[in-house]
Amino acid sequence: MNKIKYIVIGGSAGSFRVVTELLSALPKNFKYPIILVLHRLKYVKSGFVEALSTKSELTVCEPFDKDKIKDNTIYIAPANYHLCIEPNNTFSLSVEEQVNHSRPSIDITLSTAGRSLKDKTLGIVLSGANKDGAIGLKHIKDAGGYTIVQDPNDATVRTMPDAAITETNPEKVLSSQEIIDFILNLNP
Amino acid sequence: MNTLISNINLQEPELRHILTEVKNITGFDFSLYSYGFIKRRTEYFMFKNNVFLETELIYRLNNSLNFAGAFVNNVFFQQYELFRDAEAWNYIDEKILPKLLKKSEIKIYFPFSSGTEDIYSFLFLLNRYKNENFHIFITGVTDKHILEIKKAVFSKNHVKASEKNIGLFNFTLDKDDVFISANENYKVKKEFKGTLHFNTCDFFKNQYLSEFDLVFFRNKMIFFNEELKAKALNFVVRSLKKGAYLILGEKERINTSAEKKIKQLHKGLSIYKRKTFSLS
Repeated sequence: MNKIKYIVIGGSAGSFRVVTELLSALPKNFKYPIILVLHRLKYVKSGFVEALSTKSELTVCEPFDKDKIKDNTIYIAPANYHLCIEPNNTFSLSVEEQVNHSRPSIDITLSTAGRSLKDKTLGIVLSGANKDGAIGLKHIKDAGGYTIVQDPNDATVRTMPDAAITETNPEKVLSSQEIIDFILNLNP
Repeated sequence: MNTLISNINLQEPELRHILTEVKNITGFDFSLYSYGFIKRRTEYFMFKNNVFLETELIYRLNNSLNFAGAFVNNVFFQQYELFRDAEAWNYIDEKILPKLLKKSEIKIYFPFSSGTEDIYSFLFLLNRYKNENFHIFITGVTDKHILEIKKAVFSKNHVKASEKNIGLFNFTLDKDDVFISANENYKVKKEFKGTLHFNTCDFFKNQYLSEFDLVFFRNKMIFFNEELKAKALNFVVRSLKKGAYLILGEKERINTSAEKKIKQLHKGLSIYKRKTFSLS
């Protein structure tokens, strides 16, 4: 767990509240990049980043293709693109097929993070109404990363956490507040 | 199982070996493509074809040109809606087209095309002006892509998925005006294809097409690594007339030497104009 340098979080229905609480709780000096993949309407481009920015003291942005992943920054997967992580610590974007009826797909980001960043990755799956994220989280675990799933009993919609737990057998199953505390405790 | 992220996990030497074989067989050099992208497309192709070992894939590539061709076409698969990024299309319609329409000859270029969406979105937009001065040049990635573009068939789901984009657009588009029903699909009416000139060429070797007024190069550079992206951008910028327009994907950014020759027209939209004068 001491190796963690990248935090990748996937969420869908019911996860927005957890994400905003996390962003509000993060101190300005929080070291690690946080990459958020949230299912969102592909037609609505503006307002999302702005809404999350108001909750955080850190820089919140949508990455461009081939941007370097920087510490101390919150990244949001842009609408209608898959967000992938490359082995050279950069983002790449893709307009490939939807996965789990979603683009961005949580599975794609988690999977590419695991396979590229390996044991430096912390993967987290939050509330949601489909199974997106389950396989990607398993790929993080298979690559030596650390995995956490929101407790289904704490989630607004438990389908996604249930699927992730079944597929991955994660290191921890935590409530939303415990997830926030866990992340805060990572800061050196 | 999401086939796009299967349990196949090629290691770098295995992928490099496969790509070398693909180059020897098809002539397509994917070695400068975005590593994660080409890895994922290769694993996806293997999964779809029940091939789980690098050696088996290489064997099959070497024994069937059709199979090798299918590999290449699989790499370039991308599908999105008509009028993706409605804000950009509104900008083209309101700010760029009125300027182009004043010209006596207007040359438009869709280089390295592997999909139909942007081409026909533009033609539908243009149709309202009934202007015959437009000449549209399309170079495809492969012959198969050119065939698909010529066929101009959209699935009903595809058109349905596009309807919300069209709803965000500042003009109305009636399906019946642009499509005819073909079985379970929609086919673009013939009248929309009259001005199109097709060509298949190696984009990185054949730079004879130039002096365009507007070039669409949306979501192409995301295929490439930094080196190939810089090369592609230089070619694309060179194909523009001075003062001409370049449309990139919404999340593609220019950070190469080509940046000196163009300027962004609208913050937030990847729409650029070639400078009339440049220092280098």
